Amino acid sequence: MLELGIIETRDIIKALEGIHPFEFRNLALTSFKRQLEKIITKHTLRNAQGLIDRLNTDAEFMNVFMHELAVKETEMFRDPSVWRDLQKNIFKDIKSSVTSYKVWFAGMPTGEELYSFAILLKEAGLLDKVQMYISVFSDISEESILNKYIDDKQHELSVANYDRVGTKSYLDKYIIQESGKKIVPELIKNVRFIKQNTIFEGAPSNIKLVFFRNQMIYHNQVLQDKALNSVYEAIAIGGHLVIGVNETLDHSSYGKYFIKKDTKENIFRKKGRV
Amino acid sequence: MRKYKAVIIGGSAGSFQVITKILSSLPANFPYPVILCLHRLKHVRSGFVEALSLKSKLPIVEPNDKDHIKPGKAYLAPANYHLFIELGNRFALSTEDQVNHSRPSIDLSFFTAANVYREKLVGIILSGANKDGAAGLKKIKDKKGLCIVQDPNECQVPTMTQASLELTEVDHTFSTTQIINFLNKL
Repeated sequence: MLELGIIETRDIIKALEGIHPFEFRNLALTSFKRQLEKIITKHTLRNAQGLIDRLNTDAEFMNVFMHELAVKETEMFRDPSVWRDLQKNIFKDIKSSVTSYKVWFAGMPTGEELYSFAILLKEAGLLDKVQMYISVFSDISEESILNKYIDDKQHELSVANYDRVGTKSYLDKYIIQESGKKIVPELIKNVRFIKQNTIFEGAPSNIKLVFFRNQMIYHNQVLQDKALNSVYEAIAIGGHLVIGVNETLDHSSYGKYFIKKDTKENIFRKKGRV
Repeated sequence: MRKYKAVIIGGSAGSFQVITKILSSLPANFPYPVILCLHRLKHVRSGFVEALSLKSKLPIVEPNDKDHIKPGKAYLAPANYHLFIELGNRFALSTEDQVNHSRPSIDLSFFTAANVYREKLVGIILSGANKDGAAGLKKIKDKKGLCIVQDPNECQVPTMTQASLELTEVDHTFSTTQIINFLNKL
């Protein structure tokens, strides 16, 4: 498989930043390099220069690029205990909320978390009480989330995870056969897409819960800080942030504005600024 | 000036006892970070560190994303993530798809460690049931690092070590005892 060197990667970053405002230079280097290598291989662009040429001559390709830059979530209900924890600790807030409870799927999500959450809400009879927002960086991503297909491998993992969450239903109830395994689109019929060009613009406000799991792992610390600032600003006081099980807020200057919930899971509550 | 900066160990089926022996034989002030990429159940997040810690003198931690890599500690790749070594001597995690049916993938940890530490890396492949790690060990060799494979005759499951030996002319094929003696003189 193709392997890009550091200098080639920097050349690509320079070319990208001439076209698009996203801070490509602040993505975590190894993962970004791997995504670039996959994109070059998939589109038979041969090497770094091939990708740069394509970006410079084909305006539509940037859309494809931004879609494929996102690392695909490989399963629904990843870390079943986190979902159980959300049911236990967050659902009561949703139930008692008098206004629409706003939830934001931030970063570069590919939809698996969104549908997972929607399914649990539906099973708790809370789907109509929640306004969900999801960030996208490309029209192609929006389309692929609206028509969400999962492959057989994802399906197998997702069913196993879902069963471990321990609800009394079964996942295939939410999957229809339509030239592939498609998740019932009605689950997200009210979702609002937030089209972003950078990680920190266009954030919604007064959010009660932000899903930001396994997104910071693709940022370097500069971008982690900027992204967390935007998440911090978006969350209402007392609102919650959930990050990946092996992610931490300790490396960020915004960590001090969040307090960990009394749980094993990485669920945090926003404090007021001191 | 030390000759090496880190030791990275990959293992799968049959490697647990070997790892336990190695960890119990290294001193608490072992002057290198020991990075462990071991195949493990994706949905079992706790218990592994505790089991490895029982006899280890080195503290064993599952690193969080972007944690600093420090000598005198053993780092275990967390369940259901790939573990990368980044420039700047930090870890980075990834949830990209499995590689060689594995996440964590030994190849990916070894590739990234080889790119960062180059000739200052010791790579060790232990017992295991698939070929994950073989390409990673070759990468370490290509970057002039030092490569050790557990003697396949001693392995509970020799597939991984045999695949590594087929792909790379390693520096040493060692028994567990020899690996321990080697590391203690490093």
